[in-house]
Amino acid sequence: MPLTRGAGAGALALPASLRAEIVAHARESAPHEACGLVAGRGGRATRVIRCANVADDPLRRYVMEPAAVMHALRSVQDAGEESADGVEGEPLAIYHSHVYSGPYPSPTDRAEARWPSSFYILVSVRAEEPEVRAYRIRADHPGSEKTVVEAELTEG
Amino acid sequence: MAVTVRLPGSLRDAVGGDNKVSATGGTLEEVFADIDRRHPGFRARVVDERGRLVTYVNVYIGEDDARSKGGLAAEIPEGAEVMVIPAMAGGCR
Repeated sequence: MPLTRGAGAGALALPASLRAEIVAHARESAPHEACGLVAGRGGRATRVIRCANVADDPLRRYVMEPAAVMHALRSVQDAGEESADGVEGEPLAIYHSHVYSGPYPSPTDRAEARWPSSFYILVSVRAEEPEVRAYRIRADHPGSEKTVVEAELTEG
Repeated sequence: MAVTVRLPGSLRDAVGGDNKVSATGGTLEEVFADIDRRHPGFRARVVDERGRLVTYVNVYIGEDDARSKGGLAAEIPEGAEVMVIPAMAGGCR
């Protein structure tokens, strides 16, 4: 899969404490994939919202519990938080873990990405040292194939 | 009856870019039909050819999952907010 960096993907400021929270969630959930939302404003993450993974095969897939997503989105709306593109009421980022592979969006991740205004955070806990990366996954035009662009990830 | 419908994520571009629209209707079917009149093609994004909600969206009417309330036939109570939420999902392969 072509992976490009930079252009138009923007930057996500993820404070070390929130990065640690996502990594902890991934480790606690292993061998299952962990998933959740990151809320924030102005490209800076301010909180992590864990969601249960209700996939039939949580070793290889994640599906966030729909009711948990609904409640999380309501809280993001109420707080006036914004997506990566500044869309109010949408998550800044959506995260999930890969237990046995690297922090790169898989073909399934790309096919099922339906949040074009949010960053996608991938955390890999396959090695002792966790790896965290952020991407945008979206179609350039409605109906066109989605592209994956890696975003800059800073500690804010 | 007027309802607020939230259409975040990939559904935003089906209604012209806003993730919140106003619509009228007493059932989910009527609400979707009303949105589709103003934004042709919207219904096809959320309802399959057999007339069921597509698997990758979840619809909430207030706190209730529309699928547990009759799907498209679900009634919309006065003042309820409808959320049509694209699934957050993926996998390692």
